Amino acid sequence: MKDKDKPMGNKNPTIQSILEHLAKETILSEKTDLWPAVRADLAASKTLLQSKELSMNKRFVFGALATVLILSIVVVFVANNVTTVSAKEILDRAYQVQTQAAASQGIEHIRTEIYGNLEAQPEEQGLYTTTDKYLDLQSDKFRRIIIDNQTGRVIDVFGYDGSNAYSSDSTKGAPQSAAPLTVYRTPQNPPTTEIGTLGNGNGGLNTKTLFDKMRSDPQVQLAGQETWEDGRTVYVLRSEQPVRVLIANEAQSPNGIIDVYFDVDSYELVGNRVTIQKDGKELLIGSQRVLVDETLPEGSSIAWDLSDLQDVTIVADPNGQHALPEVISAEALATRIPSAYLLRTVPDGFSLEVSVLPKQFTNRSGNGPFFYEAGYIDQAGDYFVIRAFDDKPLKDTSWADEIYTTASGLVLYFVNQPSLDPKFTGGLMQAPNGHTYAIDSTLPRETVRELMEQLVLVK
Amino acid sequence: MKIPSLEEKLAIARLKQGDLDGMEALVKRHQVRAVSAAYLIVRDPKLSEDIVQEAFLHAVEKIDQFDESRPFGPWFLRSVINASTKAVRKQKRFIPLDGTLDEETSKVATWLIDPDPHPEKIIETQETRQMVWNALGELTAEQRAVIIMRHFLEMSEAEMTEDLDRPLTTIRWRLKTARNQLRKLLHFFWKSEYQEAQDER
Repeated sequence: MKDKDKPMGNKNPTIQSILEHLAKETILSEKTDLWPAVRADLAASKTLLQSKELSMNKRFVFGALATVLILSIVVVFVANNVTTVSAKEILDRAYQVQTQAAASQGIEHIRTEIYGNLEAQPEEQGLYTTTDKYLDLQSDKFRRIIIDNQTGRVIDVFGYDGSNAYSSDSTKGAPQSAAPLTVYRTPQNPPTTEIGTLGNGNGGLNTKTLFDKMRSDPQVQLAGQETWEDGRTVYVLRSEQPVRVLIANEAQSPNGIIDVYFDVDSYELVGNRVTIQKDGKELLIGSQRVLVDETLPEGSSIAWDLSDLQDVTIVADPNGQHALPEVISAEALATRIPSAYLLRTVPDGFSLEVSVLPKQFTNRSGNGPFFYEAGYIDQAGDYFVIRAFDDKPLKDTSWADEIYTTASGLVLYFVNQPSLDPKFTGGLMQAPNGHTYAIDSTLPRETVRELMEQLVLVK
Repeated sequence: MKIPSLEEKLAIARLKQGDLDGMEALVKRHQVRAVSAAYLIVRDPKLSEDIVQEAFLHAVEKIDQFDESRPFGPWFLRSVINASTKAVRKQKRFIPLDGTLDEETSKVATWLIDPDPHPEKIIETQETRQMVWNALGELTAEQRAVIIMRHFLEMSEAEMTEDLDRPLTTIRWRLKTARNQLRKLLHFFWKSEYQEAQDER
């Protein structure tokens, strides 16, 4: 018998029985159900704890796909079929259109067709989806439905009807799933729609960042015009640049071609297309095409309660086990989260949205509810976000490329992430209370440092 | 070696594919055993649930490192035991032995120390359970952990040492010192009972 297999002390059924009894006297099997808490904690880790990019991947993966690809446009260009209108003129006009004051009344309706193939598989293995989004510009109501174009099935749902939030179980929303999509209906405050993903009118495109990049790039070229099947004619602006793809679970950055489309009449941004060369052939990695972008009259009949959806199962969730992060006031934050930090005042030109998880755990460290997110965003799309990260101090800060300590003792460990959007500024902040917070911003580090000095514990 | 159930294998496969709901089956299958084991070590039911909840989340993070040809239970329960001992060290809370030990209690304690002699003499009563509970409370977390792993979770020596980052000799030493500590705590009764047991052999 191997030494490791020798018995270590005799097992005794009576001792075991006594221990069983001791445990059963207190731990009642019928009252032990950790799954709701574990599930909510997993959800929390996906929505509030992880980076914005990961957060978007859960809920806005399809929309974010094209955005991420487009945001990494660089400066090498292929000149082709240059027309009398220059790329710069198109961009300038398009920028004016994109940044003009948006409608403040009515119901915004945007339908976008998106193709994703980030793993550079044969083209037919990519996923074509259609995102249909309605947003009541005067209330909190919204709905966003994603449909798998191949099967016609609903694969993701997110909405708010004024008193209930609707959220599909993304883990059961895989396109290959045969079961109807489960949608949880939870009475709660309006859920957060996440910065830059639902509120703008371009199917998830971060227009400011995109236009900033393209307009500052003297080598952007006009590839020509195209007429689409629906009759629209578009300008095609083209660039060649490294494209991030996942091949065999490994990130690679082969050179790719990025086409961006602008309507020739309205100069609106209406789509994009990203391809790479693989095995000597052009391979489509992602595309996005805005099919509908309209503002419906106020009071238009929209099924905010999703009652028009055929192939989903709506499940009531009165106890909020599937509740989404909900928007609350800054004043309410102080009563909900005892360890929350906010800027002393909202910076000029910015607005503040605070969200918390309705169902929180109060006993991770005995310090009460913990998870929250505060996002400051301006009209141009720049933002500064602080979100709870962990109720424990950081164990390892070796990854930081700069450490900044405020006068109040907050320590921000900046992280350099060039592989992400180059405008990303942020890192993890450790507070004197031992908690850590994630900072995420499009602003330069100098501005972030200044804002850090304004952070105060809410009371 | 315990063989993983089909349900468990499916759940782990789902988890590894990023389907977090694969965790539901694992939670429901192992939660009571895990919370019970944690409770016997940390002696606080609420803290036990917190520890197990955290352990499940930790398991999700580490699931790619898990060999799915093996049963999930021992792998997971070891992490619960580790977390429980850490929690006790953090609390530095020990429940003192109180009250006078009666004869039946001493018999139970004797068996707990060395299960061989005369199991038929043990009468499992509320009092004996209380005695064991109090005596366990006087042990260190590590000593409690090895007793719980061996006698409550029925782990083999190999299962106990795996992933614990401790050599076999350390585990044996812990079990030995755990027994010795119990013996010392119950010395007054141990001596006569053990002698009686030896005499009867």
